[in-house]
Amino acid sequence: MASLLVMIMVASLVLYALLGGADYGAGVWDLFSGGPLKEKQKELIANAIRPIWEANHVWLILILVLLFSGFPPAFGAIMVALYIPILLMLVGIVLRGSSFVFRAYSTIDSRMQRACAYVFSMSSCFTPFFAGIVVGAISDDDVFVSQDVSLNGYVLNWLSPFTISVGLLTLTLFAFLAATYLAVEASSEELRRVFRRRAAAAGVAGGLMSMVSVVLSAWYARGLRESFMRNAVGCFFALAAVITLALAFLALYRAWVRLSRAMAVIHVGAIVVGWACSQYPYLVRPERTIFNSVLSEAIVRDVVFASVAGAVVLFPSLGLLLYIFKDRRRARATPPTGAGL
Amino acid sequence: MSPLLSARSQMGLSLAFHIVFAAIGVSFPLMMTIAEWRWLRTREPVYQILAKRWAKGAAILFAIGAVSGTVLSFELGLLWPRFMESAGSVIGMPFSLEGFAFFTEAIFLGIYLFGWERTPEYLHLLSGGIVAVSGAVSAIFVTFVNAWMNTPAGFDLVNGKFTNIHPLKAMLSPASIPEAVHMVLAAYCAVGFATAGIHSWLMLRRGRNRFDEVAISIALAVGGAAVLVQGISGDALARMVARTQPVKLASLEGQFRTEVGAPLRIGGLPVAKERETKYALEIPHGLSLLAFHKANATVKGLDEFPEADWPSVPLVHISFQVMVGLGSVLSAVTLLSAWLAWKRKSLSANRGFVKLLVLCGPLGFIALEAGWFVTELGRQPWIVVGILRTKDAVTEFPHLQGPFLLVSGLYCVLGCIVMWLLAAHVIADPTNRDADAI
Repeated sequence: MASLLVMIMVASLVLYALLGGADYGAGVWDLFSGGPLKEKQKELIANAIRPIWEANHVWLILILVLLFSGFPPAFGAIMVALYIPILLMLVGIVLRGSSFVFRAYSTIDSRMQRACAYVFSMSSCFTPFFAGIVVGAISDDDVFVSQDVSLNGYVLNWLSPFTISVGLLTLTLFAFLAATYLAVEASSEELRRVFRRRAAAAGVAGGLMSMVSVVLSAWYARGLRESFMRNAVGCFFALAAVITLALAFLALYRAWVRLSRAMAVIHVGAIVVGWACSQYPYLVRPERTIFNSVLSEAIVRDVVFASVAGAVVLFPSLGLLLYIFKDRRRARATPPTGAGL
Repeated sequence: MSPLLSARSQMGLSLAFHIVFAAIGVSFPLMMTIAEWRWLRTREPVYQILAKRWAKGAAILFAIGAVSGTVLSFELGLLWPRFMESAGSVIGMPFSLEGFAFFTEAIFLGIYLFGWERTPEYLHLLSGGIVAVSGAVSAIFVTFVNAWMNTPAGFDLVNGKFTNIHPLKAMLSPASIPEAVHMVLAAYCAVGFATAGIHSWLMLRRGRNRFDEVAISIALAVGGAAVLVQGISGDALARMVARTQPVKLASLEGQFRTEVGAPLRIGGLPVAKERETKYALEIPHGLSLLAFHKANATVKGLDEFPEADWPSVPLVHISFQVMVGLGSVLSAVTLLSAWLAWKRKSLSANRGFVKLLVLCGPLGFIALEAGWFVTELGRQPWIVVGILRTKDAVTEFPHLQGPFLLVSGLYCVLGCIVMWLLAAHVIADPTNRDADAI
């Protein structure tokens, strides 16, 4: 049952990356928007995330709640040892969400609006970076907590070249996803070309960061790396990630934007699932596994049932939301015609 | 500042901030949906404009509620890891269910706020209804967690560890239903009166108009109905507290000595050193009657318990007096408006009454915060009553003042910007577009 709960959490993490992550990525592109189409880009980004970002954000809360319901000691270890990056991530979440709505409503004062726009795009960058650092920190072997005291201190247990590379990887993957989504949703051919180019750039950066993270894991995350090498499923997902990235580049070059979006989705999903398979059975390396963190089997079972019941309500609703705001827009957008990058 | 005080201040501030936006998230959708339902029934454009106007204001407030709620769910672990490590599993069920309720709320809110042109009318109205229901449901689940901390149930305690946990029994602890009902009603009451107050002020500025009249009538109906039922709910809650948390009841009422036929104290200042509540207006047998529905029931005083188990009696007593006092004022205003309406007097023609509504605007929120102080401060020094003390649950993270200052600064800035934006959009609107559009 504990493994089943973890599978639900991984599925939520994948969905958070694909939906919520893309909202952060869109904010990253807001920072980089420029050129003659600057205002159009910002408008496309704002319209794309406005109706859905709050719902997409709930995946994170769900993961957190499932973690502390099912595996309280692992949750405690993360919250004690990774206090600082989590706090910084929270500040980013608050700034991103509030500055996004403030920007939309401060049309009366252009200075205020510019300031909000700046805070929005900056926090869209550093929030995923710190989220990635947290993921990196639970995957390397430095989190030791005894009697609610972090034995490795509160800074060096999460700050290492490896965690920084995972932070940057998270940022580039989210930017990659967002650019492929925005290329599909773009209303004009020029705008689409801009986001295809950006998707390609972010794809290259993401591929590089993946390689850097894998290389650095040899020194900083040996446990994860060994588990990955021995794990056929993990390797399969890594291979899938490589192939889909290649196909995404081809699709971007040929302006098959919907294919590139699908490939980006599978690419990011495969990386998250591949990581999760290599992390198994650990929740927080090197001390906390799924099995030594369960306090009550009965609770785990009940939470799994509650999640299944919740999913019955959740997925049709989510489908309706995406249908209303994403499907119609796609129908309205002009069909893409092939053109070089 | 000691680490414990820093952590408590940060948690308290985060809750006090979030509860305002959470209350808006619970009751605004109900008011928007009522306005839209009236529009579909009567086809009077004023209702549609009102629904859209409220939805626009709601978009900002909901977003702040969502992000400040996220902060809270992390702070449970960041500040109180020992509480979460031992009790995480017990309170996991209401939190998981709240997660799904909040999901539903966020999804249909997106459809409601941004789907006016994209959805058929009935689906749009239905979305509003779903937001209203799921908002209330998620508030209920979250309050269940607080109720469990007050009246823990549904487990066996073996060597200080929670074992043999029954999630449903834990979720439905003795305080659950009374506290959840009280919270949801408080949200309707606070937001109803605040909205009525804002529209009354607008009406004083721009003269009588149908737009503000309609807005006031919907807001006042929601807030007034809630505050009247709140009296009954408060009675049920107080009797539950009397039964299960005698220390809390004694602190609420400033009852230092055990008494047969205890008096109800109105106002007053409890002085812990002298074991006496001074300057209070005492109604003989009042407390025994209210708490146990018997004139000569025995009410346990604080003296029966070690002083180490007392909360801060003056703070709890005063907060309780503020909450009950303001609730009574709002009930009286509701009865007055009902009487005026029954006499078929136009409420908005009566400038004095409109001014009274302006004055009542903030009272609901002040009562809501005071009530939250009562339940949270009244629970101290325990984080889980009788089982885990707050000072034993706080994190070992060494520099807690920093995060407290950071969060305080952040929330101050956010609060100011929200006030400024609302003022700029709602109150200082010189064009008077809504009123003119009709």
